[in-house]
Amino acid sequence: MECPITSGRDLAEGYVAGTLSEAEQDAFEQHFFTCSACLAHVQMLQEVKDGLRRLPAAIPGHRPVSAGWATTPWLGLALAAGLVAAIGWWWQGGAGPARTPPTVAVGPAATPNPAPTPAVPGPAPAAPNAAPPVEAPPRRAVLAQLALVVAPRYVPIAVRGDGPPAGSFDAAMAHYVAGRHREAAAALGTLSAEQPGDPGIAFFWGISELVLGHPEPARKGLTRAIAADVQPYADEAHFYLAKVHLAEGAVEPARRELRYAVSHEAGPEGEAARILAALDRLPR
Amino acid sequence: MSGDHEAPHVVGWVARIAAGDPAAESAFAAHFAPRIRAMLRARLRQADAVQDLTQDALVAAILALRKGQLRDPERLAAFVHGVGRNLVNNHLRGQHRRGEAPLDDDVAAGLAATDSREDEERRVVVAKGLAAIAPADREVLQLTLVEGLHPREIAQRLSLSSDTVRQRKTRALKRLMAAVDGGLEAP
Repeated sequence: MECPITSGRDLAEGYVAGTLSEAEQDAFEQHFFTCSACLAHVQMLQEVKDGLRRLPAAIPGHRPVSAGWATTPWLGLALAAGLVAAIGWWWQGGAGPARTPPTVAVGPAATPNPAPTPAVPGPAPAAPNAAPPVEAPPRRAVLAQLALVVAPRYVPIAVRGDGPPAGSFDAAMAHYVAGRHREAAAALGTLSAEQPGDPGIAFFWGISELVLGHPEPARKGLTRAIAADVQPYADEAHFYLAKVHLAEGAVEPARRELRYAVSHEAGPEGEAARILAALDRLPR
Repeated sequence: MSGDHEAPHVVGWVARIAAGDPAAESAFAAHFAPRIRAMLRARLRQADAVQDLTQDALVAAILALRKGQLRDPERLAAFVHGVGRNLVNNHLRGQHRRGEAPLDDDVAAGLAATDSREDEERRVVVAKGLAAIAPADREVLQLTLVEGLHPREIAQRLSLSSDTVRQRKTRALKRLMAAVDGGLEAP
């Protein structure tokens, strides 16, 4: 086999991505068994792949998914539709009867259909300018709204063979990906107790507990991820730690974490800044 | 480099192992362990299975070499690859049973220590490198290596040209390779 590196046909990427045919895979393996340069390239790409697949939301292309959202007890706060709409309007700076009520997407929808939720019913035909003023929603309701969290997307590795072994990180993350956050939290919590220095395990444990509405273990997992000081987990954990504080109504600690998230571009793009701005308008 | 030819000193291990030379076995194991591990890592998902099967493949190959079962020393790499591939297939079919390791304890311990140290160093260096590259470049890597997409598919998904996708990927990989080369060579 002609060395892929010198022939300009890079098989290593396809090999590591798992997209080569069986024959190509076999031939390339036989090649890198005798070619140190290709072996080193494969080893690096395998490490890159493993590093990438564990990356949380900081990766662009990481798109929040609604899986698991419908099961989160925080949703059980069950902000009434009208209240949610009012908050959404308020959050966007809307107030006053003269404005046309906007349509607001208040995070992922609680229903299977994630279409934007109409914020406020349209003006009544008979009296288009007679909509009553929308009062600022209660402080607690706003904080509850700001504390809502969507679990960062995790892309599992696709490989041949059986499913991941029980008790492994991959097995735990299979629950996470499927939105089974209770099972994910239990499995990741166990793993984190065994490997407290692993930032990926700690981070996703914290996220799973956060989605379940368990602030204490969420704080523990996220704090471990921060302490491990491995990026991007550490920076991302600050953003989600802010969510823990918001859920507890602790505004100042939340601000601190959010300011960190803004300065380190952590969390979904622009969200930390938006929440900070919303906190500035928080009803007293 | 073209063709898959084995270095003379590697070919020489075949006769030395058949003659019962433990130093040749150690050198053989140190040389082929990373190759087998890379292959198993691509074909299996369980890290513990990768470690175990790497050891098993080395054991099986050394046992065969001790018995002089490889007639053409020039085919050593292909032979070891075949041993590894058969173990993977047996493992995936649930037919693999672990055997007793005939490796000298010192050899096995040295291998394990070296493996874990090099893997850990590479992991740290790559993690730092990933954090340092541009997010847009990282996204292309993610779509290439994790999701297995072709540059054309990535270009469609990101509304970029295929050339831009290739440029981003090349740039990111160059930076990572430089980081790995620098990191692993550092004292």
